[in-house]
Amino acid sequence: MKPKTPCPPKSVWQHIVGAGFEGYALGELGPHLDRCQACQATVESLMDRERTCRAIAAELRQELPPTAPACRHRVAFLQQSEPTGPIKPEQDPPDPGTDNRLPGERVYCPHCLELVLMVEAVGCAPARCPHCQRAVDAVGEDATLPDYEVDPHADDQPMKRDIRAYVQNLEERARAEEKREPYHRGGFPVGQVAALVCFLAAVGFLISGLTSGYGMFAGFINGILPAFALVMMGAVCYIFRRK
Amino acid sequence: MQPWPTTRLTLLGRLADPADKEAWNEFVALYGPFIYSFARRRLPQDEDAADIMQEVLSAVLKGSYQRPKGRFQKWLLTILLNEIRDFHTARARRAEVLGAADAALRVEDEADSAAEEWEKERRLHLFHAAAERVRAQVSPTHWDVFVQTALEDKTGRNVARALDLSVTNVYAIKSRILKEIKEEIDRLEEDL
Repeated sequence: MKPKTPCPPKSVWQHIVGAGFEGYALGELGPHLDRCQACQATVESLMDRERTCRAIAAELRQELPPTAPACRHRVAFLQQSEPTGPIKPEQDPPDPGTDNRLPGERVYCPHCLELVLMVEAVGCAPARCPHCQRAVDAVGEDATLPDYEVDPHADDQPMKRDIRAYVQNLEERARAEEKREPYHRGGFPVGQVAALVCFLAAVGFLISGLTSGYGMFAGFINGILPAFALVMMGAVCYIFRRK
Repeated sequence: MQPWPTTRLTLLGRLADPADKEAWNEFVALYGPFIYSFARRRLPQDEDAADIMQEVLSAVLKGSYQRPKGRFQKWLLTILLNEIRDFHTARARRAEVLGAADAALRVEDEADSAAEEWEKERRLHLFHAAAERVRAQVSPTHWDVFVQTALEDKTGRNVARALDLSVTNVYAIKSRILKEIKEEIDRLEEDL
């Protein structure tokens, strides 16, 4: 009977584990390891203590979140198509009379303006926007009449006719006002009167200065100079009179 | 287009070549679900998150990232947060026009918490992506060995008995696959 191989020291297993069991250069250690549970435990603890092993095992034990269908489809689309760059702009919505879109296509909700995948209508119920839950039809238009829609027969109501007549009356009065002269408030002609007084006083001074019999210089000082000043004052009063 | 680093042709470098469709597919497969998942938690609908994902991936393709100015991850996160913020701003503007009193403006300054969340999620997706790539290259039996020993914490002895392998073989397989996953993770980190 072949004698059992004694267990090698831990350092040997450490070396073998560190080398990654490469080359299988174990010799008689291989059969020993296959039989010896103690050495198996040693090897396993050495392997588990390795940082790489622990890190990889820790990450791989965590499950990846399941890939959503939207992600899968888009990844497949990107891989099949040429890498062209940013998303192309959405095409114009089709003519409402020709709804040739594929079912489940994204449309702009008329209420919240979000680009959404419409929840398919069940039976008679209209399709609904998954975002704001309001009803829309198949082409993304509002399924109900908006409140602000104009009623074409609203002008025939009596109240509307009265209002229209009143507005027309105001317009006619405004046109008549435009043709009228602007209203001018009358007042005492202070400027003109002051100018007249100044001119008359100037004439008086002039006559007095020329006929007083004084010399030329005295006549100039007493007659012509004040007359000139009064004439200037009168002219100023007349120019800046209130019009 | 900005000049890409030429020491090693990384995935980002390969994206600059319009003829390299494989690089684009690889990038979309790697980052698309991750960006989508991050955006979906901040957006109301699946399609909105898908649109944002497409915008962000297209921004990478346009080549506006400049390596000397900062890490790619930080740039990508900034682009993504900006797109989400623009979405909410536009939505709030529409709500104002409609007079909706219940529309909340979700423009939050969440740079720090978003960066942490981003890194955590990126790591998770990266590890899983690397594991999937290795899984595609190894036999199903070897993958089973790895899953049962590394993830399900079963002993080597039980797995060997269940799969009719030797215990040494089980440990060797586990060790090899761990090494391959680590190398794949390092490669993906280096690429981006």
